[in-house]
Amino acid sequence: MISFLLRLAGATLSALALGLGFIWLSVASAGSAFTIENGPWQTDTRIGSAASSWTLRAQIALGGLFALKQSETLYYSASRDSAGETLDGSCVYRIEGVDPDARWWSITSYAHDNFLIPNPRGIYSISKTSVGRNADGGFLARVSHQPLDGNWIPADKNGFVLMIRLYQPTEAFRAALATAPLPRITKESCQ
Amino acid sequence: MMRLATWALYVAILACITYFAGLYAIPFGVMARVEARLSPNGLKTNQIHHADRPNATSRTVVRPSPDLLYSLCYFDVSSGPVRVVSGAPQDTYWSVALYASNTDNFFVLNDQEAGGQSADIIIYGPHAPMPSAPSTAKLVESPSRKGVVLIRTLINDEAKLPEIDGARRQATCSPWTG
Repeated sequence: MISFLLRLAGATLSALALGLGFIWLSVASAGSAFTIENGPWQTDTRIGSAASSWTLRAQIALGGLFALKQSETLYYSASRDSAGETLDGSCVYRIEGVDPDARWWSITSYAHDNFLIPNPRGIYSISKTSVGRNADGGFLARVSHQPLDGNWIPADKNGFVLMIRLYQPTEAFRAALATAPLPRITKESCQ
Repeated sequence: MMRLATWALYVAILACITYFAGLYAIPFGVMARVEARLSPNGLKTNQIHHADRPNATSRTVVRPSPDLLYSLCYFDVSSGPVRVVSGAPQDTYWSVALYASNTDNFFVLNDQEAGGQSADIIIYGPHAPMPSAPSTAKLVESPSRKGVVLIRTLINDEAKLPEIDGARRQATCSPWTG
């Protein structure tokens, strides 16, 4: 009897581990097929879409809870610069470009825990209406741990990601998610 | 004594049940976690809650937008329809989005679609009869009895923050008795 109970417990634990393992595999590893790259920026076409399966719904709940459909807001994130190197919180980066083709846009930096980065200025983002402009109408902003003059958003020393939100992007933009102009991210210096 | 094949079948069936039950439960668990984080802030069902502007101390949801003001209402249409009337902040983007208890976004209306007026939405239960409503209201059937209304209001001008915040706080969420 004891032998049977031990086997039952072992089999049950094995089954639970298998089931949970398959959940992790299906939720965490199926992302690349839905990811579109635009330079250093990546967007996930599942975010904001209507879920058509349990797996997709779980993926959206974990990765894009309360997201809006693409015609309302497009979300791109970047964990690397335009040279393909991982963003480093001890470096200064330049974000340069022209206005993405949308009603409004913002670029926000997040710490490795996906929350906003504390800084003495209380600045977390630049946006279409807050960014200072170059003479040609484009913009240049810097990302660094130490606050800098001019357009600036904070970096976290332990690593960070950037997110660009495009509110009501044009149809032309949505038709060219991989090629529509988005800002470049270049490393300027490191400590 | 159970044979090896019987044990293997037991493991396979239980693993499948665990897989599908777990996948199904994830969205509901995520939704419950957000509700639990908001409850200490005074969030009550069928009442509007105006969250403070996100900053570095915000921990309710990951990657909050610091340029948005969020107002939300956990609705429950078990006892009848719920009416949501938004504010009407001018010259900025805002939207009212409805999410089912499994996190599906089943309705959204933005400021331009609302023609610069308040959005007036009456949510009624799944398979419930369509309630009577003012002609200006939009009737929306929810696929679940419970869900979330999330109103986003964009701060497109820091100088206008008091005006924008004041306008979005006009929003209401309450049971609708017709």
